Amino acid sequence: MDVTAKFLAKLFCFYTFLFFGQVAYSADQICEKWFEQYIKKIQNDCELDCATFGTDMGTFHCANLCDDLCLAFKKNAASRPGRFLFYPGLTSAERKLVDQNPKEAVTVFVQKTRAELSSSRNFPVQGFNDESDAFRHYIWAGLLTKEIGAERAQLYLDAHEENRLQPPAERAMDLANNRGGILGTQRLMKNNKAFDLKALEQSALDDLRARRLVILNPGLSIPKEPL
Amino acid sequence: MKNTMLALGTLLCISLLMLTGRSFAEEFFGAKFMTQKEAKGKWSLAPFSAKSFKTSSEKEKGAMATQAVEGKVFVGQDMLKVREQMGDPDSYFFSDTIYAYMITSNVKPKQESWQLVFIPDENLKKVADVKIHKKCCYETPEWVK
Repeated sequence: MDVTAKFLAKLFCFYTFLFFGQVAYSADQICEKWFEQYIKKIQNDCELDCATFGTDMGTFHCANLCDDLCLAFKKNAASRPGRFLFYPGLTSAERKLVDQNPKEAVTVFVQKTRAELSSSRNFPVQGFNDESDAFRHYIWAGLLTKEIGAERAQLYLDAHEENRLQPPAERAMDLANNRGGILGTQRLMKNNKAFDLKALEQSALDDLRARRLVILNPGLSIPKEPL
Repeated sequence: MKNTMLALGTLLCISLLMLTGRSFAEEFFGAKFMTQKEAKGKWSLAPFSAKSFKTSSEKEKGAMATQAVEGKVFVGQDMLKVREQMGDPDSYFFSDTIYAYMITSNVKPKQESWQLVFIPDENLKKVADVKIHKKCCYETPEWVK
């Protein structure tokens, strides 16, 4: 009898352990799924952002697991292929975007290169904070808007400007010219014109000549048509 | 024999991957830098002066830039100190977070030109590296067309 009672007690403990273990495991899985659906919303502080994610009756407890979820996320992020895209001089906001969206980041990188080449072609001699700089920002913003939409483009463009090494006047110049590029592309696409790089370049040159773009160190000659 | 081949193959793959990673880390995608040997041959060496760099001749700038790379000038120091001492950048490389100063003067379109660049660390706080970067003239890569 005594032996049977002991055996039953042990069996009960074992099943209780299994049951609660299973519940805890399920809770973890639920919270992992909950966390994953909000991953793109993480900006600067994972733990802080996680605590503000929306919950419901099934996930109300997940905010308590934010520390663990963020720790796992950071470990995972460090091994993502997005790391290979890291280039020197990226801001921390850019790094996060690259890390979270490696595929999209490739598009951003390609469009940036296209914008740089376009700027070099139209302004073969370039300086700093001049027409070529404004033109490059305009084209990059415009191409990004075409490729990933204005909202996502704005996210990358703003991330690029989160730069402590840049004086406010230079940042304001870049932001204004990025805005010009987004609007330029939206205008071109709205008018049902066949959107291509030449059309965007022409739009940028027109805006430059009409002094609709911000330039801190003007002085370069602006071609009438894209080169 | 089979195991040895497998081990050698794995080792080769790892070495190739490391080599690729290393070349990306040092060269950066789509950017070329002048080696110290080339720089010394082209401009020789001259003491680096942050304050007079921008107003110097191309030859002086080149020699100073070579010395800057040789002595890792500003490396480990605050990025803002570069701008404070050298003045506003007068060129561009990849991002405004990288300070670039032209070496080649009176550049004409499609003329090979070089610039001295100060590359920040991951936190954009300190200078991680100083290099001589080729500003012009690159061929348009296929993946951009």
